[in-house]
Amino acid sequence: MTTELTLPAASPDLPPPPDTGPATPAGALFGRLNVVRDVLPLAALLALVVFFAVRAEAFWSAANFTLISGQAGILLLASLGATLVIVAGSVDLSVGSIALLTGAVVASLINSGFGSPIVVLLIAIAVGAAIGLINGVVFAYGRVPSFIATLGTLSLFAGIGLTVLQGSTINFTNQAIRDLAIGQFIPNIQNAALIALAALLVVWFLARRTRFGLYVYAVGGNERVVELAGVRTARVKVLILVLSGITAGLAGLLLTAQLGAAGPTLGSTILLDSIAAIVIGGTALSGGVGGVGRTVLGVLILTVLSNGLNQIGAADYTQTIIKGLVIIVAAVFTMASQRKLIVK
Amino acid sequence: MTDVKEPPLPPQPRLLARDIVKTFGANRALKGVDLTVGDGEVVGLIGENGAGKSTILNIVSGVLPFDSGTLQLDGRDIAPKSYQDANKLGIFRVFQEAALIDSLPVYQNVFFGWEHLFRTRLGGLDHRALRRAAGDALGKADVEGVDVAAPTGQLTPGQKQSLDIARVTALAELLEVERPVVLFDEPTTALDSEHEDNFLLLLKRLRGVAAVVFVSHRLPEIIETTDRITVFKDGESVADRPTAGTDESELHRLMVGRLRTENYYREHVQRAITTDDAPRLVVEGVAGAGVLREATLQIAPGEIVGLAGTEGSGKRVLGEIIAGAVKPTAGRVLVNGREVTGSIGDHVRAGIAYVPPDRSEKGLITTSSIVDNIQLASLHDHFATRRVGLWAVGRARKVAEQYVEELGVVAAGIDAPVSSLSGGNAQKVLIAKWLLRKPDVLVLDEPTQGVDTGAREGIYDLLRKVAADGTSIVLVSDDLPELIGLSNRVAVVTEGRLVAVVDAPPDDKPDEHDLVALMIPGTTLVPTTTG
Repeated sequence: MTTELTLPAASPDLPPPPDTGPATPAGALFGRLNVVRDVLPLAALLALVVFFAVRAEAFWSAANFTLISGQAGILLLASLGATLVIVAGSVDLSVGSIALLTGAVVASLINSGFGSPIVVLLIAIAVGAAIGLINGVVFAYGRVPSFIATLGTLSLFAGIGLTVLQGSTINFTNQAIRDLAIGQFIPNIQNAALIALAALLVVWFLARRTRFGLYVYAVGGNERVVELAGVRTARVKVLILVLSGITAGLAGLLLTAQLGAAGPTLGSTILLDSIAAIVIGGTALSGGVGGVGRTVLGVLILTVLSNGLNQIGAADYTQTIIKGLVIIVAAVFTMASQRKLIVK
Repeated sequence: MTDVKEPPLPPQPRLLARDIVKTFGANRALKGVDLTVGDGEVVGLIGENGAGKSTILNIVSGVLPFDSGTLQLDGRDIAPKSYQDANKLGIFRVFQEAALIDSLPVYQNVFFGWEHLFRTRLGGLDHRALRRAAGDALGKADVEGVDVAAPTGQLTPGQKQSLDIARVTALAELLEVERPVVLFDEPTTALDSEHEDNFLLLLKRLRGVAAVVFVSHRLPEIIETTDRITVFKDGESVADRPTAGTDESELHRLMVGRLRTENYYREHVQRAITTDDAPRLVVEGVAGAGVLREATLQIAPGEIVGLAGTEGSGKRVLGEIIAGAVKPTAGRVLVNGREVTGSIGDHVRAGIAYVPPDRSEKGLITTSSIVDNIQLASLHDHFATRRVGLWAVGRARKVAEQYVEELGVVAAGIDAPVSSLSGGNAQKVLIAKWLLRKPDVLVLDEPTQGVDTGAREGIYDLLRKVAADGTSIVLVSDDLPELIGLSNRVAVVTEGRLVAVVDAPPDDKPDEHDLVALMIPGTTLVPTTTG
């Protein structure tokens, strides 16, 4: 992927960091282990897996694992950039619309002759980035709160997407592109999951190994302090939303590839599911704390929950109720652990 | 009936707070303070920032609980659990900024929070009764020219102030409190002189019908309006005396004074400054923020210059302009002979570092770790590649560890969040963030606020060392002894102008009283020496 091109280990004007390697050592991590925040999501995931494995025969099967990998991969992609937006103390409400618009653009381009998976991937990244740039400029330079800015573009981008679709569904049959999502380069893992993992590494690297990443966390912690340290926060904020646009665009592409079609409801569940995954993982909406690692957990919990409920035959509306309860419980726990942090 | 004669009681204060202790985490904000107010008395409460004035008002008005001590109203123990609770007892407060909701009409603000006393038969809000009661209240308080139905945002600051005070008397009447206790928390800080006069008139009118506690930074108005003055310092009451017979400089001394041990400020290592050196920092005729009108100053390498002045004099703005946090509207700032303009980032790149006041709001990200805070200002050059911004995590950690050790920061490690540190240790982290840049000019605003004595001395050692390495230091502090003790020269800013620069060599430190005289507007200038 193109974004990986920016990752050569040797840097132009700086010797590579000394031996420290992964410099947030496990010791430091576990030394500050917060039971509620760090252990609970993992325990919840394990409990869900065990529960469904016992209750539903089909759950513990290779076929179902493949299915889960694809679903989780796409949701993870959509949540990656959004996680950093939330870490920075903002929110991107337009991720679903970005997925829809990107999916629509990609589907119509495929039908007008763009057949190469790589080209399509690049197009999705470009479209996502461009849309994210609009979000970012309105947010950072227009000084519109992200909630309002992306609420506006949520509607704007969805409208443009629907215009591209002319209100109906665009189907395509290009198998190479469908394989971007549902092919299995590694048996029993859908390619969507592999792409999501690659993107996870890139975003993790950006968040934890670049100046940009530290600024993201710092802006979420206290923007005034960052400004007084001489940092141009507007640029950081634009970049955050560009990143969110890229991952949402990729999610839109993979959803389209998975379905072999782009329709008016494409990506309609992405916004709520991605925020849910981020919150369940333990990233605080107040900003400054959390990260994409936690979001992986949140995505897995959400995907396993919904897949498992399907397997045991729970009705759609029951699932919706349970999902809502899980989000609320997770938010209560995240707030509780936050408070502890502050009081301490 | 027994016939035991009770001893005559001493005249009882209306409000009595004795030995009140309040801790926030590890920080003892109040270490056993006393405050009393008699009926019809106006008591002034003064002290430096962080002395505990607002905390005691918060406790008396039910906003905060207290840990231990006695709080009595008319001889009976009270422990109000909320502001409304305190209201019912007869305690009212006028908050720092007029606590009015601009978008509501005036009459809704007057009895805000007590709407349940104005119900129609159906249980709805009886707007008509509310409006009538508010009109009556404003009439009684002689608030003129205010339409009770108009949005509060349309009022002038003076009218708002009157409204805020009228609200107290109106509420007292509504709750059938005959003689309220009224607490004023720096009500004049946001007012210009005309409205201040207006406010002082209102305050005088309250005298006799209420017991009043009046907190203010402005010593002249405290002296003019109060009967008695209580002084807090570092969470303790250090003085309580009748207003008659005291004066500003005595009060100032009581607020800031401490017994100085020899070389507390490391005067023995104060560098002698030669004027032959080219100045490191030049400030030419700068003005800004509507407060600072004119300041010109030169600082030599390794020199510490203190900026003295009363609150609102512009001394803080001068520091902010040098740091780049405030854009000057006139004049220029030069470092090593080169003009520095533009954003605060440009100032950082030009070799200027800024330790702002209020470290948890402006200086440090408290949810982040020590190492993340320390590297924040240096990611554009020291700890990340210039273009792509690859982060030299290992190097940053090494530097952070080195500074944490060198400055003696007491912490569980460099990954500990700043919120887990004491004030002094957090301040050291904040200073380390800038020191690692080896700045040419270091601007510090209140570097020892909320820092205990031990950590203070550590910071003084550090500043001397930094100066010895050639960094020029601009020190803004309300703590006069500290300012005098640390500085090579003290620049006095009065009413927006830098009016004097006083030499402060180690063997001949200027007197606090003389500086205070310079700081207070209207006093004639004493002859000054410049270095």
